[in-house]
Amino acid sequence: MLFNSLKFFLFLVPVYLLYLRLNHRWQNRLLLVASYVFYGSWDWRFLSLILLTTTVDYFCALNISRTENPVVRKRFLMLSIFSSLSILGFFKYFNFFAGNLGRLLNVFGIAADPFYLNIILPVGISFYTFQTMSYTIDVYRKALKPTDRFFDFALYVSFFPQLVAGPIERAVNLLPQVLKPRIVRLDKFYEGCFLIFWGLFLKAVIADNLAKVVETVYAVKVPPFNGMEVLFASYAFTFQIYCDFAGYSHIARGLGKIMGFELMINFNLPFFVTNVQDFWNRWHISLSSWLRDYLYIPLFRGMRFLAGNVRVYAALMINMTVIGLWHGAGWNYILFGVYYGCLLCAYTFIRMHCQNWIVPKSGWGKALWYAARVVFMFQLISIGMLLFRSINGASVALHMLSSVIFNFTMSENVVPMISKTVYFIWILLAVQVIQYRTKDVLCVYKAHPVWKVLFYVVCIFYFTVYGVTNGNQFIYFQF
Amino acid sequence: MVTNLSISNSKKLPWPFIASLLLFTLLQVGLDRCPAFWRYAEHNYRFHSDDALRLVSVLRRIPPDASFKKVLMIGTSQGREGIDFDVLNAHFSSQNIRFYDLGVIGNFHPIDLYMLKDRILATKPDVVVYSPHVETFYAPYKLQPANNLEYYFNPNIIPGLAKHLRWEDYDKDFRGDLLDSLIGSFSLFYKFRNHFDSVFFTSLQYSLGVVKRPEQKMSFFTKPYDGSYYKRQIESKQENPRYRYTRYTDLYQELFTIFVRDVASRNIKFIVLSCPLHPLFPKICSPQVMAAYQGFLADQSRQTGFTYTPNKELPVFTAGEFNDFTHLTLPARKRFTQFLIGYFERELKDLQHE
Repeated sequence: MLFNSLKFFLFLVPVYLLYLRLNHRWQNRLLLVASYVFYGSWDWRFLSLILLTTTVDYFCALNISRTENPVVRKRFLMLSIFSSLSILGFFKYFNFFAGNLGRLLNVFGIAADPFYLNIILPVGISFYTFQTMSYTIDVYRKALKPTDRFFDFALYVSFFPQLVAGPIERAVNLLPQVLKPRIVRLDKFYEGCFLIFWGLFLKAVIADNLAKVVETVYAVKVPPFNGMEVLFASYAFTFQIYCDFAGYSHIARGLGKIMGFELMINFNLPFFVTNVQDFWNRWHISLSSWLRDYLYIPLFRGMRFLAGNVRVYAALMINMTVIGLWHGAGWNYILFGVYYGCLLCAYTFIRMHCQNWIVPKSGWGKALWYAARVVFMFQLISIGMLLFRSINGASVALHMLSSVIFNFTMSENVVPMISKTVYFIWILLAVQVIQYRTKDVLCVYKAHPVWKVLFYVVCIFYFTVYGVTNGNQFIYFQF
Repeated sequence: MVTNLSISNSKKLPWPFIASLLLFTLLQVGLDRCPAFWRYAEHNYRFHSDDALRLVSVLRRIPPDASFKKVLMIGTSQGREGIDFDVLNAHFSSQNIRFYDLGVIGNFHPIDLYMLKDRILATKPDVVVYSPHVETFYAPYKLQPANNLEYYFNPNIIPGLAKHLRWEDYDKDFRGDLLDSLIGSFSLFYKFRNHFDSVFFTSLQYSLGVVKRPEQKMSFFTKPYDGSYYKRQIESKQENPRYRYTRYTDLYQELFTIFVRDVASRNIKFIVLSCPLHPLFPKICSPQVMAAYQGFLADQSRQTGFTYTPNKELPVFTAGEFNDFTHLTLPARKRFTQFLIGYFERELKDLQHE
């Protein structure tokens, strides 16, 4: 059941109308049932997994809070983390590691016939396992009091707007909203509707149309590649994945808003960044901040045996490799993580050693310097996305990357590719420039009525003529 | 539940959104009635893919009260690609007769003919020429993208569909089309969304000089298929016959009959003109189906009095004059057009004397 499908609309309307009629307790029950129906619509068998994760983490958190004995507390924390990671590892990474182990053994002359499991990846598994892990870790750290209301906790884990592709909500933010009565106000309702509208626009108009541009290049599985086509397809893919994922996040936030929830912002103008660290502060914020708090900082603190900056670099590399691996069991994702790890290390090095560089501080010089850095960062982001998109393998990704340098020639496909990309992203860029200047994500919603009417007319036109209505799946559902 | 969703006064309504919907609707109504917009659409359409859009644009541009005689040629891709309308019009201009090319790719089933009936009659034609193919009557509905309910949707078709078809036909063939047709009834952009996307985008590219405008094509085929194509087709069609009786056949025949009756009642001359077929065509179509198809048209012709020209009355075309089983090469197209000049000289004799 995809957000951009008629089926979801037919599911949402009765649920929402009923939701408005119920008291807080029954609202939570309704949302829980709706969330399980929503998740079960993909494959009802995986409901057992979500139920198992919920049950284990619920009891682990309660047991952690009931004792001050550090050994017992740690034991329950480990149980919670182990169960979540086992489920994730088994369903998501088993075949990948088994295959690679088999290949490695073959390299050393040991004939190995790896055992593969005939399993499909449960939708959204990486999202809800991380969400439940954050809960027990926060309880262990005494940053959060656990709830003894099982059904409410189950709702926190399975809340349907953000269940299958995030944002990965922390219990500190979402759980209190589940536990306390919520208020649905008209202004929030309209804000939510606007976010749903804009999210659907990003997905059904921009992302799904750019997908056709991207597919023309990335569907090719064998070299030679035309470097210029690869470059522009990578640009298009950078916008596609942003619109796909940010679109989902907007819809999730919008759905939350109309029900009285405030979900976290997952993307904050990531194309306006001037350095890679800032990029990860604005791109998939819920994942990057999760890993920062639960992996990077503990790693940094734990690696005292490493001297000086080496500790920072090591923690960064591990953190980013995990981000890559989180996205999928494939070498291209690992390469994606390692690439960003290297960029972050390089940025950290430059920041520490090149502070005295002379840069323009005011006027046009400052603006041009800023623009140059934004453009440069966009190139780096696009290279990362090239690695990410190369689902045909890491070697294909490297071939594509080398073609950008060694086979950068004009082809007849380039101009149509560029024009098609520009034809779809200009609205996004216009909106984001205004958002950037006003520092307000909802600036369009709050704009003068005349501008709003103009904005809506353009969006409705694009929706009507270019909207992909067959309900293409969101890219992040596979993670 | 604590809610504050009540809209106590009209100020709380989402006026900008409502206004934009109204504006968008007005924009579509305005464009729908704007001849320049339809000329623009016709100028930028893609041959083959946008034929449905072109047909509607051409139909809109036909002046009902023109001083010249109007011959509307409607039908399958055979008519669309096998006739040179520039040559026909050049020849008949001195006789004050103008031919309009309303052919589309695919079969142009009688469903489409029936749904367009009012619009065809509104142009006050003097002659309507329909070029069907055996597949027009003896085949399932959805074979080509231009044969869709939504482009020419007319709710009058619904009782006909309900009478002849079953739930599985609806579910398999046009469940999505019906919903799209209903939305398309209110939104011009939605109705032709699969065509306007390229019309708007490509014309913008041409205007900006980003891409050079190609010459408008005359035919979908660029060269004839080789012998192996015919061999494969014959083998596959013998295993799985393409031209066959279906539940749609009854529907098509009934709708065709209604169309012919209504055209005849307005004193409009109606001609059913067959188009040439490859010598190997009998190998992919059973003689029984062909006989039933031709027999139906001949019966109708006798009952209603329209002119029916079956294949046997056409000139003989050799295998080398076809791109595939049904579409002529460019030289053969010229030859067929020359035949049609003579044919229409005879058939439109009455018209010339009016």
